[in-house]
Amino acid sequence: MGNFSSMDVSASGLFAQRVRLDVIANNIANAETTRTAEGGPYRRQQVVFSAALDNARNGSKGDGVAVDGITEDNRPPRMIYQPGHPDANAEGYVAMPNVNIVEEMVDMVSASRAYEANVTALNTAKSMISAALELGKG
Amino acid sequence: MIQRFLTDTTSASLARALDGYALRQRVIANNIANAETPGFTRSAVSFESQLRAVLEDGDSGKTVDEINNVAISSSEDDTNPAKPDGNNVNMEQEMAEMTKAGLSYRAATTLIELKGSMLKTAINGR
Repeated sequence: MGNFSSMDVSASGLFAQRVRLDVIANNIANAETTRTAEGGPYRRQQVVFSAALDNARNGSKGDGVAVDGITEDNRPPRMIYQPGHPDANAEGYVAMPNVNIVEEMVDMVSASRAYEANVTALNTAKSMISAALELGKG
Repeated sequence: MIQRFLTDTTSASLARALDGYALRQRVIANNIANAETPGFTRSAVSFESQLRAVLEDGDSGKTVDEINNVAISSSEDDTNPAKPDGNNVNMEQEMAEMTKAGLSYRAATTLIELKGSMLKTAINGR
């Protein structure tokens, strides 16, 4: 077993949570975007995680987490009555992104706590390895 | 005598415990990394009870070999109830167990250091 593989596992967790934070930030930034390249309002994005597992190398110990992809949320857009808006339809309603700011904020807190947990795991691994390295000095 | 001092059951079991705690830390790091992965089941490492059984068995002749062969195994642990997404990682539990593994590791390295300093005292005569 590689001594430092625990750090790779934590690094994969840090990366996954940072991707999640990036996506959340993008959702918040585009919470009012009514025009996109595909046409229509911006659609909320979300990351999909999967457990990385290299059975041949590690048995059942696990290899950290992998970002499987970023998918679009297919909930319908919010319809807001705003007749003066250039993107309003015939009835005066504008299709706004299906982003719920409160939901994004809750997700953001959760992502940043999960990031901190991975940092703590990394620091534990570091202090254990330093303790082992100190052995030779006595 | 020095040979015995370096390959006795205490040193062997401390070394085995270091391996066990290191793997436990790695497995917990994996649980934490996957705390938000749908359908993930946490894993746990066990070795203490097997190690204790070997040590209580006595018969010092073959015990060192037996200690070196104590199985350190990681297996899925589904005692925690799963969340709606099928994930059963409990962050508080992982943090507590990881801290325990880290401190136990340091305790074991400290004991190995103490053994080394005893040997040094014996060699230097002071």
